[in-house]
Amino acid sequence: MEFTSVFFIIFFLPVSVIIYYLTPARYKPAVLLAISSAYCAMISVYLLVLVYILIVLNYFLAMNINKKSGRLIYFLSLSMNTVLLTALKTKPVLSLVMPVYSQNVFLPVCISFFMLEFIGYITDIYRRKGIPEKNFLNFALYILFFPRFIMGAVVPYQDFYVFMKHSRINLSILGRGLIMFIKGLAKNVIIGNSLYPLWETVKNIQPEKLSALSALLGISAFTFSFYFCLSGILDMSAGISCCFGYKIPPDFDHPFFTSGLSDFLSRWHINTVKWFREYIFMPLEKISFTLASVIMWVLVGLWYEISWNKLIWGLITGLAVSAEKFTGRKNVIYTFIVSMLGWIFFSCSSTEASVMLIKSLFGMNHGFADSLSFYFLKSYIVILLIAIYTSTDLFKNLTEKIKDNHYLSVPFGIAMPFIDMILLVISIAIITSDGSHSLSSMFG
Amino acid sequence: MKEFRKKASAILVMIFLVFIMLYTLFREKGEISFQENRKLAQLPDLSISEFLSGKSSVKLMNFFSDQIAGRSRFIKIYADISSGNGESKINGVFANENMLLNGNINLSGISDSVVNRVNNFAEKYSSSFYFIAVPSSDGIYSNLLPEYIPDDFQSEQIQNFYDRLSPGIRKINAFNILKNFSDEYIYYRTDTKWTAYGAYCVYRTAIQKLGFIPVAYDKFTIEHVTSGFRGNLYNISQCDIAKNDFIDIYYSDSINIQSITAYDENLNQSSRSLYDKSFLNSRYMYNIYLGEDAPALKIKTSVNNNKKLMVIKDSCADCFIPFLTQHYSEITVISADYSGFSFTDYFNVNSYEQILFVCSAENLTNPDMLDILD
Repeated sequence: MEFTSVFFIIFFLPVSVIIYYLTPARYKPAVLLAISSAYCAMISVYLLVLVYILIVLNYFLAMNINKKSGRLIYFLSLSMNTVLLTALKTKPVLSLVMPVYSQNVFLPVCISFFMLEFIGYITDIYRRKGIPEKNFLNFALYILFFPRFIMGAVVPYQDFYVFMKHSRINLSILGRGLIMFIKGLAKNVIIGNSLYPLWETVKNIQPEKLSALSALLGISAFTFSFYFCLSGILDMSAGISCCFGYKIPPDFDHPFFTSGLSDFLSRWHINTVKWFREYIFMPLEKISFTLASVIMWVLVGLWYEISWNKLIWGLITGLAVSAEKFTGRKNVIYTFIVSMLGWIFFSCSSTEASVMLIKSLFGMNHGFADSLSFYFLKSYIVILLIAIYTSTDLFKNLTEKIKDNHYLSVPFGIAMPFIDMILLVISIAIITSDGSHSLSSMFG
Repeated sequence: MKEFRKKASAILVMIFLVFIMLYTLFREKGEISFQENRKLAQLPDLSISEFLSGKSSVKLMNFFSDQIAGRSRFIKIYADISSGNGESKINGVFANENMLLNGNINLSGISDSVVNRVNNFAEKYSSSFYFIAVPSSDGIYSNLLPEYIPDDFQSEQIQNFYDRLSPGIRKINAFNILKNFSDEYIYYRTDTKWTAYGAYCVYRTAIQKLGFIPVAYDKFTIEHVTSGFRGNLYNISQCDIAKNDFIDIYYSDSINIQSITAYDENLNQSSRSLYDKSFLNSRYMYNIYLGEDAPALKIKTSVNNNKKLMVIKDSCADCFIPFLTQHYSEITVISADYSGFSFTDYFNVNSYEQILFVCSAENLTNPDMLDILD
């Protein structure tokens, strides 16, 4: 059940918020777990059963990691979770757990998130960075908490525990959450959805007829569409979490056109990359920075999707990060070229298609520009410029300045609730009419 | 001010969502969307196996999506936004200032399964066979579509299809005929189908191949029955950019229709007329031609030559059939949409000297098209 479905927006979200707010404080965690279990059951009851089995197994294994034979228990648990993480990304196994959604690549991504959380949790206990949670309900809620269930954010249990203990709700916090939700919805549905058709069209053009400008516009459309769809969903997740009083940290921070590749990557899918940095990169960094960087980013790529292209994307990214570190130089052009090359492999379904797209990008197939590329430019320039501007620090700085300006903050504050409503209505209109080009179509 | 914004947003959004939710749940549910011309999802029945697998929740989500209060308004908002954004493409329909064109082009060609069905059918019977593959509006006006859609793609598809049909089947090149008349009102602005005038232009050539002299245009009395027709492309896009369409019907003073009998799948019979004007007050105005679709129609005319024609067709041929009634004593019309109807059991195909296929080229790209012949 995606956040961008009509059912979720007009039924599940308001009903769950009302139930939660009417529940006495001492019962709120249990009610939230019940709501989250219902959410998971609506995807598949088989998935819910699997998740509870894994919760029980990891709960008891974690209890015993710090006892005798703890190392064996840790590696047993680590192996179990890693094997399951890999197996559950394959279609035959997935179709058993999620019969309806196994053809949709997007929803099964949720499995990737909670498996990472299991692995992180038991590793932190093994390393003595955390203690096993004795309260089964708290641990179950950590995994099943429905705003994070599909797409994260991946956070360590210790951090989630703090959010849980400090959670509080009131009208202002609800409003903050709903604003974030609407912002994420608009990013996903309005901007992401508007750009994706350009990429769909470009990728279906025969490479021999694809000019450099068309290829550039196509890959830019994919990049920004992917960013707005992914960050939009994570903003929605953070917004819904906030509605329930849980302040989950943001996952994106205006990553584009930063000064260097490492800056870009530090603002991209922040919590998930942080997980890989903590549990993959840092243990390996002692051996070699380059090796650690390459392995980490290759695993990130494969974690997005098990495919050769995602592996190559990871390889390019890992090597480029390493090169940037050793030269000590940060360059916008270098970041642009490397990330463009990476996105070409990330976006295409095969290495052959990626190579052809690169050739088109250098004008080797159909020259640098033609009437078709000018048609694309004319049709999409406005939305592309909006996408570029709003994904950078420039937009972030502008909104901060308006909020802090004595004269503008009042009209801004009065107008914004109505602008939020307009964005909500437009988003629902798009979803009702056209559906939403969810991330599944970018992976399949 | 930040606090005001948050609280105001919380109140406004929650009131809006709760209102939409309650209105959606408690209002009368529609079964058909007249604007979109399709059935709407209903509340799913409870099934344990579907609940366990997640199918129930998918059906529930479809139900909410289809039955959301104010759905038609939301679709209108989307159409208005989309027409000024990107490629002016709304739900796969290109909105040109003059007409709507289908943007979901199937470039894959007409499959061998369709070709084989027609060839095998033609081999079985002694009648003379004729085929008209009718191009859709996006095929004729492909120059109005974006450049990445090849010009004349449908002409190539149709020619390739004709090349694979048996040599004994006579083919009528409707594409070239309609292309020559493309400046005239031969296609609806809001539908993929040709107009009655477009059908007449092809009739003039087709009837000669069938061995008759076409009736001149000025011999028909043309009645302009409505200027408010909105076709399938409007239903999909809800885009107002193109003007409404006219529907014209053609009468002949020289030939009368004696009877039209419609057969349902159980061979129950009912009486029909060539033009059923009662549909002008409905959302299905195009059904003015021959009335509601039926598996078979038998048309008897005052033509005194005892010639019989069988027409195997899809809906695009409905406005073409009236022109054929000028030349045959009896025409049996078989709809290709009823794959379960074994028409060969009820109509002796060999008793028809001529069998004419009139099908939309767009429909022919569906591999299951004409499975009524199997």
